[in-house]
Amino acid sequence: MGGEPQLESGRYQWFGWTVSPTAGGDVSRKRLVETHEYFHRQLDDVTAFGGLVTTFAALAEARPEGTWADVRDRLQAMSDLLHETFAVGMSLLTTQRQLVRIEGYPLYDRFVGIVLRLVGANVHPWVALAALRAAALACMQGPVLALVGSEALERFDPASLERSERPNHRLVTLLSSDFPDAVAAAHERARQTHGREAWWLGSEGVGLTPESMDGEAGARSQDLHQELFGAASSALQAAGASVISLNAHHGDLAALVRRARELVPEGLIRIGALVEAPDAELLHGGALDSQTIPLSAAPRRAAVLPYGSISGLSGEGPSRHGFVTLVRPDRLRDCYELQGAPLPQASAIACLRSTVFDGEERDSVLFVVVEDPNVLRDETVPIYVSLSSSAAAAAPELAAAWMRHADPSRLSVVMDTPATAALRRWCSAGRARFRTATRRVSVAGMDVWIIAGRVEDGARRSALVVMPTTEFGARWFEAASAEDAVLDAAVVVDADLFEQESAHLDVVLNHLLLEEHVVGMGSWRR
Amino acid sequence: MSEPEPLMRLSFDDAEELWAAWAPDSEDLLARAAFDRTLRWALGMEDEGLYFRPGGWIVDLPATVVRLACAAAILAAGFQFAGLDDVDRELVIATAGLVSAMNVRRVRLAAEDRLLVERMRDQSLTDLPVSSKQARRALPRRVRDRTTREQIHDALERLVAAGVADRAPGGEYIVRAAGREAWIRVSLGDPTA
Repeated sequence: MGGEPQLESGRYQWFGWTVSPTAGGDVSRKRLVETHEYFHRQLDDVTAFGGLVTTFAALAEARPEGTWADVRDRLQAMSDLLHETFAVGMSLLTTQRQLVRIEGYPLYDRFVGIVLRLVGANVHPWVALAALRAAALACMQGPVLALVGSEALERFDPASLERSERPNHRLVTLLSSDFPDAVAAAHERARQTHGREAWWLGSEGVGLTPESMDGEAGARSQDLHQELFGAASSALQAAGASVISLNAHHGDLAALVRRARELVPEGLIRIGALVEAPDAELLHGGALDSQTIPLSAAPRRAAVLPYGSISGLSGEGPSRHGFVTLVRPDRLRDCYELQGAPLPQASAIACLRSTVFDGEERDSVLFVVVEDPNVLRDETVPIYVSLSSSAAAAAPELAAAWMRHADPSRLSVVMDTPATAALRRWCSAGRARFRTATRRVSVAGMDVWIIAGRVEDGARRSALVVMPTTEFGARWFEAASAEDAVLDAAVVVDADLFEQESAHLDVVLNHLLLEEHVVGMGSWRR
Repeated sequence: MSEPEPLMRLSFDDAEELWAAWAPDSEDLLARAAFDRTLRWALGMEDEGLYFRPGGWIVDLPATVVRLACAAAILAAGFQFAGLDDVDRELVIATAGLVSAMNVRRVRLAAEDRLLVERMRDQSLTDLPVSSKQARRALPRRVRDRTTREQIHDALERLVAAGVADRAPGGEYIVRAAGREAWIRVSLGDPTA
């Protein structure tokens, strides 16, 4: 509505989420929105029921013509009440907000009410966090994977799940059980034990201090979570439900994913905690890797032309240059209204990319298909080569050919696939370091955070790695770099990196942010 | 070619009203979730996934679609009340198409009813609980003298049915301020009434 502030929104779809990078606005609200989506993913990533839903979601994505999407949606309908309650409560608590209705988001008032019924209105956020997480995990941690394991996936009918195994029913059971009393009792004990400690008392506007999750207080938080998970489990079991212990579903989930993969021989893509980082708890939820960030500056129209029919170069005078991208044709079809020559039949193609202007207006994006890197040998202007990581994965030989051809100082890899596990892999070998810096880039009414860097091992250095993200993702990367042993050892922040690489980054970021419709490490699905 | 069906507006607040009218004291979270989920789906408001959206929502759709969606949402909640969840969504919609005993039309107010509303609004007797007796006093003397409290009570009930007023505890009523009338009130009575 005109005149009203633009409020942020988000959308979670099993493997990741989409958030808008609109510039300005309330930073704390942006954090709330993205944290909300993050907790949806975390709940699916670490639980048995979540593993069940996301496996069927992966099948639905691989086989959209089948009935998998119906199974997925019915399973989601059995858990949506719990999912929203968890995401609303956890995002409020972890962004230092009170458990009260969220101004501007009336659809979620009911869920705030459910959280308050579950954990109580007057408990310390340190207790509320452990209680809400324990309750949600107990609701999602039924023996559902073992039940599915006994029948062919094609014949699995969600209706075969007893009501006591459905998360929404389990939440309702907990609300009418003695679980809220157990939380109140735990709060009272915690208050007596910790009530005078600085982390419990908090500070101005901060109820859940970072210190309350660190060291001794962090260990006690884990104990409390375990205790309340036990209380929630007991309450559910008393009502006839089964609860399995945390992580006890991993074997059954791995078996389910294996069976699902057998149904999709060409490859089932399921990016979840178990696949991304089986040995790294920190990476559960893949905060950085789950993002899809739609951009609004690029023209929707695009023209595809063969090399030689038109220049394909960008810029004027001293800034004249060529910008070659390695992209997947599928992505071009998804993102642009294509005109001109048909796209080659290939898993990835290289194109000189530029913007066509009509006066001051950005009219369309031009893709000049370049089949052989050698044809650019005679160009007299600098040629920048930028590979999208999904295209490099789809066509590794083509990517290698362009990487050999490119000037290393003008070669970049824009990550549109999960970056954290890749970075750990690159940095695990030898004494490799990731020299990096993060900057906010504001362009065309959008705020995008750019994590840029190079993996360096002695005299060897990688292409410039570019990771577009949000403030939430940048903060998560900063925290992960400190807390994950591999990243902690490898990541070296170089505050001057953007200045050192300024000419290169100017070119890459201008093309990226003004010619792409979607970025982010979860955007490879587009 | 036939004329296109006129559009009807349905909002988040209307859905809240619809639920409140149909299940005024219900705390059944599963039924409410079924109602919301089915309404959103039947109105075609959401694609796949879970959303975090600001504001409420407003849709402008052909009246038949709105009516069918409301009926489907209520049916889904009814199934849930009856202990039936995971009912096929298409089945709910198809069944809703057969349900014609639900009257979701605006209630027509008589001239006396509208006079009562106007007088109460003129005297700022809106958005606060009032008794039938207080409401009667708002009428002009000549009308008041020939109107019983029972007739005022009946008029207030019609205002509730029309979405102009709400019932309050203790047999009192709250008349809504101008412009805040509910769009829809459901009565499960005679559809021809």
